[in-house]
Amino acid sequence: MTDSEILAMMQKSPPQGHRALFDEYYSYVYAISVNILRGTGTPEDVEECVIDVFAAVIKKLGGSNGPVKPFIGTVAKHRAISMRRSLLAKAGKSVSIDSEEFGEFPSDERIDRNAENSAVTEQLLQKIRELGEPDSAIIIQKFFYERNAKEIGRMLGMKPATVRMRCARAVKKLRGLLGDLYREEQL
Amino acid sequence: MKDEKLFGHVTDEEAARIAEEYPTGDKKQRDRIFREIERRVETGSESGDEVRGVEAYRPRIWMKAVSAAAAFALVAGAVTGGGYLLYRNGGGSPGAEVGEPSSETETMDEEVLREETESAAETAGEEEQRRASEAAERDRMEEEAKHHAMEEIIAKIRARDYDAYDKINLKYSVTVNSGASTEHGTVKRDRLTNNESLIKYWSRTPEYYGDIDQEILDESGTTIEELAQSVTGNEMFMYKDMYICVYTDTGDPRPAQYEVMDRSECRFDDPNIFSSLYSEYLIENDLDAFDITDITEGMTFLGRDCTVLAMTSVYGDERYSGIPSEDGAPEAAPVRTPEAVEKENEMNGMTQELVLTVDNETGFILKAKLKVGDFYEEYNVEELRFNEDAEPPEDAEYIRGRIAECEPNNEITAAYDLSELEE
Repeated sequence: MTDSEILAMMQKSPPQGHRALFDEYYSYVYAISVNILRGTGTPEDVEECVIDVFAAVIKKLGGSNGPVKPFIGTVAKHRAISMRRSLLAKAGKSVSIDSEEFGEFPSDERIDRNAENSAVTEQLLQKIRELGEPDSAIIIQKFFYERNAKEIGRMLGMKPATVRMRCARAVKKLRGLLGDLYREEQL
Repeated sequence: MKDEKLFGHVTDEEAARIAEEYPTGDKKQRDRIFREIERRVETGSESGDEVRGVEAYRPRIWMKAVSAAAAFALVAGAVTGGGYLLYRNGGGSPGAEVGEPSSETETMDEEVLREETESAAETAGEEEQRRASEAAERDRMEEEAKHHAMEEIIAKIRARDYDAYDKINLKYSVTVNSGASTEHGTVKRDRLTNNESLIKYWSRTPEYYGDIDQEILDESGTTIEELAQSVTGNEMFMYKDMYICVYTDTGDPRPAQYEVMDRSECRFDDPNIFSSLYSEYLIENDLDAFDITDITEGMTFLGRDCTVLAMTSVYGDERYSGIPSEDGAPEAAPVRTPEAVEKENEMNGMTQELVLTVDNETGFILKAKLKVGDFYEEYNVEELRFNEDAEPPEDAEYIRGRIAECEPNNEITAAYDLSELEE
């Protein structure tokens, strides 16, 4: 469904429009949120962030007709950063807005480093793809989205025990595929 | 493997690409999150903040009542003031002799006297008008406060959160078909283990079976009285990844049967076991169709502070009003006999009355009575316990013992791997 169709539906029938928006962008918002909150928040915090993002976006999108993705992406990023800051503050840590963790680019050097990181991420994703389905999906759900075996099982129609077993095997296989991309002790 | 070491910093573009290639979230989870989003959009709350007021919800009848009351108060004020002036200035009134000139030539004294009297009458009229206006303002403020209280309590109902408690036990009864069928049930939930149970039993009066043909009864070798003495039950256990249900019928001499399926395929606990309650069905399906006509605060039920809402709607305006069928499928309207359909047609257009008793702390509906003509349904919470006061749902040992007394209801159940009950 295109952004225009979603926006038109939101005008005509708000509940259906909201659902269409949610279905189209849920994974995107979740991915941005979990990416920023990784290592700081719980899965519940990520969900809370996703809920906040959609609630805010739905309230602000009424009547607009521009592209949705950049807007929703920006809201998601800002909300996740704000939540991360708040979680770190609660945990007694403080992180500057200029921190590397927030993906800001205060210098050229950082851009270079991110470009390098980006290349590594692309290679990693390529190796994960080579695992084939459903193992690649299991690895991404487990290590990128931080889903547990039960949740992954529900998504992929498998028993949690099967997910755990396949995941362990896929990790072993991935070690081999990654070669020198990651050091052995990192996996 | 540590996840943060597999995925370090991923750019937004990469995250977007991963999301596109590998969508996340199963339907149940997505539905639950979406419901929460809709709730927050509706109530205008964010980040789980306490809900204050409702932007979207506007009880229609009540709004009309508020406007009408305010208009009436203003008209009454005007009439009262006008009447007083009329009285003061009318024939035969104390002011008559001064209102009506006695001769064409008025003395200076008479003129002065008349002006003073008129001035006094006007002052008195203004005073009366002021009082009426103040009374109208008081009424308006009272109505506004009432209106606000209604919005608050509806927001509380909408914001009810079973996840706010580690453990909940809720014992209830539901009477439908004007008392012909009664369900007694107990819900237990442990949020930490995510185990849940709902054990419910139905009993019915002979009137409930009144439509069964004698021929069918003869073939089955039973009577309406015998049927009315039997009690049927569903003992539903959501344990780890399994849904286990024991079906009992005291009128059936055979052993009870049990069924097992993957919990993800079970809809009774979506998003949790409380979704099977009559009160939840009312909230999800009927509440929007009703207009609030009155509110009573400061009530006590089960020792808890409650608010009572009186509501009405026109029967037939909503798609279906009533309890879910006994197999637990909330969206399915019950199968009806031609007599029932006729009765329903009779009820179309009639006013439905719904009285809700709402717990002020939790927003849970503790009592509901739905009435259309002589037909009624009633829901009562009989006990509500939280956290350390509540019992955990039945454990694996209990469930194992329970199904050991029963027979599997089909081959799939018989072959189901019950090892989770051994862990």
